[in-house]
Amino acid sequence: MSPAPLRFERVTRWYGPVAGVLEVSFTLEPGVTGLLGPNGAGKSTILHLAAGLIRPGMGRVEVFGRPPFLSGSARARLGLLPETQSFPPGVTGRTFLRTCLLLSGVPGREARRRADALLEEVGLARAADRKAAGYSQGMKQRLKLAQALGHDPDLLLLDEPLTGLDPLARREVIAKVHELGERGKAILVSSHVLHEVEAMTSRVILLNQGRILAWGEIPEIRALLKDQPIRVLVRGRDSRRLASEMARWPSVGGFRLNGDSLEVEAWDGEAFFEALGGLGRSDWAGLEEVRILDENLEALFDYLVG
Amino acid sequence: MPVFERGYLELREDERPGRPSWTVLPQEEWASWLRNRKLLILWFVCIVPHLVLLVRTFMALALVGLDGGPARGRGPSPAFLGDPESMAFYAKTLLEDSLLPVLVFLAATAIRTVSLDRKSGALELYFTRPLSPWRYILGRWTGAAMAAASVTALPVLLVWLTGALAAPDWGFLKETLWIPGRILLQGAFFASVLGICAAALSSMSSSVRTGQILWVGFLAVMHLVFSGGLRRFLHEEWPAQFSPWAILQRVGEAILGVDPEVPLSLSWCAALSLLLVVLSLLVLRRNLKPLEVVG
Repeated sequence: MSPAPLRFERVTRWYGPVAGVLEVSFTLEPGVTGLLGPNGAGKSTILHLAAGLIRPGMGRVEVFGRPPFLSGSARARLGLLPETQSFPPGVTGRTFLRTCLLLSGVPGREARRRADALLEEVGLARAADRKAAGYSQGMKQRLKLAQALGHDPDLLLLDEPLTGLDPLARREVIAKVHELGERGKAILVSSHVLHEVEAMTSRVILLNQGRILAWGEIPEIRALLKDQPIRVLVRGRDSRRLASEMARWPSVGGFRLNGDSLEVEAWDGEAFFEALGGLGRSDWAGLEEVRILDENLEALFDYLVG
Repeated sequence: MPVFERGYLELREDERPGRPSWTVLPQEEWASWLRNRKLLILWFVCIVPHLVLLVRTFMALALVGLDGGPARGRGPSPAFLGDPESMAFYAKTLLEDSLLPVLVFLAATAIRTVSLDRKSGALELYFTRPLSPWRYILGRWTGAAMAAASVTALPVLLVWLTGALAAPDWGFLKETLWIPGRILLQGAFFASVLGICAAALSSMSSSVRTGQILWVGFLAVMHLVFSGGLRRFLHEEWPAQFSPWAILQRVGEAILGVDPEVPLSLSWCAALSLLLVVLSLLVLRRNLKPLEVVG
């Protein structure tokens, strides 16, 4: 069995008296995974540990079975898109990209050819010989993306990848992240903008104060939150009658009538949907729409972080 | 403008990366320095002693002649112009006149490298590559040493080469063929020691200004330490000019094969130079990785 692209095993990292991450354990599988948390939650620390920039105080970090802090061959298989927006002064986009490729071990001639192709790919061919420090925010982000993907890594660590991009470019990057995930690359996307991550993946790691709150598919995590009722929107032919019918169900905790739709709070999702299925078969109900309102990242995050 | 116009560029199996190339670091450093007009002007100011040497070479060849005969007509005396066929002619510029220029030039170049990498986040990107900290150090050391060499040994070599080309016959070349090798060796020694010190100080802060202040402070403290604390161990008649530079100068004199003007023990000076290099390497390594982040 081949080793996982990224594995954290009870990893703790302190910065003096401040804990960056505490007892963090997870295994990253191929595909896209979102890393979510408020500022100071430990997202950057996790990315820096995974990229081999810092050493865990306790526990073990492995990239394809090797510790990235010590192993060059582990780092050769990863690409990091950092959050920082600055570039070395005086260095052009082309030089920067070529340097990154050469430092990744791509041979000289191939690095030159590939740098040109990548610049064209991310739409920076015309600005290739301008100083990178003078690029706009969007251009810098494109250049960073190019350097992260340049050596064709198997593990991608993306820190706020959509920052500074225009809406069209955002859509393209999201589509690209999807595509790379489908190709079997393992991708860890850190962000505090929930809908951006949700657009890329349904698999997330939720962090707060250096600890993992939850990890997995969003619906699975939601299902585990038994202390929070599921909010379901139900729209039918006669919402008032629907409400009076549902009031008798033990799985329903409460509801609110919003015009022609009904917002139901169900404590036992399984029993609620079973009963709703029975209702759907009756002629009078005429169910037009049933939608879970809080099976999304934002609701999940609210429940977990508060 | 579309970001991935033509799809993702995958590497073919035969294109898989091999060993990272650290030589790109000094190359990239030099490319950025050459694009900096202010730095080029500073470089020309720093090689003024060498330009003076060049003028002296021409005058010595044209007015005095290589046989040391009398000058044709009125002009500067042969003693003033010197003999371009002797190492002593080059040694003064290499060992004494280059002191201030090389320190100033390093403050403008090598002192900036690691701190700018840190400040700009490039260090973060470099260390996510298979590049080891030691290879990074080697790259930055080479860059810094080349900066030091560019205002010490290299212009002197050019002066010698110009002299060889301007000489009336091949006699000059035959007589002085041993000189460039020694100049190169001495230049490599100076540039290596000064370069690694500058790179080590550069790694201590992400602010260029702080690095430059540290550089001046380092030279001052080293001067005090050497001229005070260590004097009793090295020589009884202690010269007033004893400084880190004097230590390098003593080793430099030995490499060039000229009579020592610095009355210090050669072996002690060589050992202290080596110690300086080792300490600088340790400081650099300690300051590079892990990179501290909070978030």
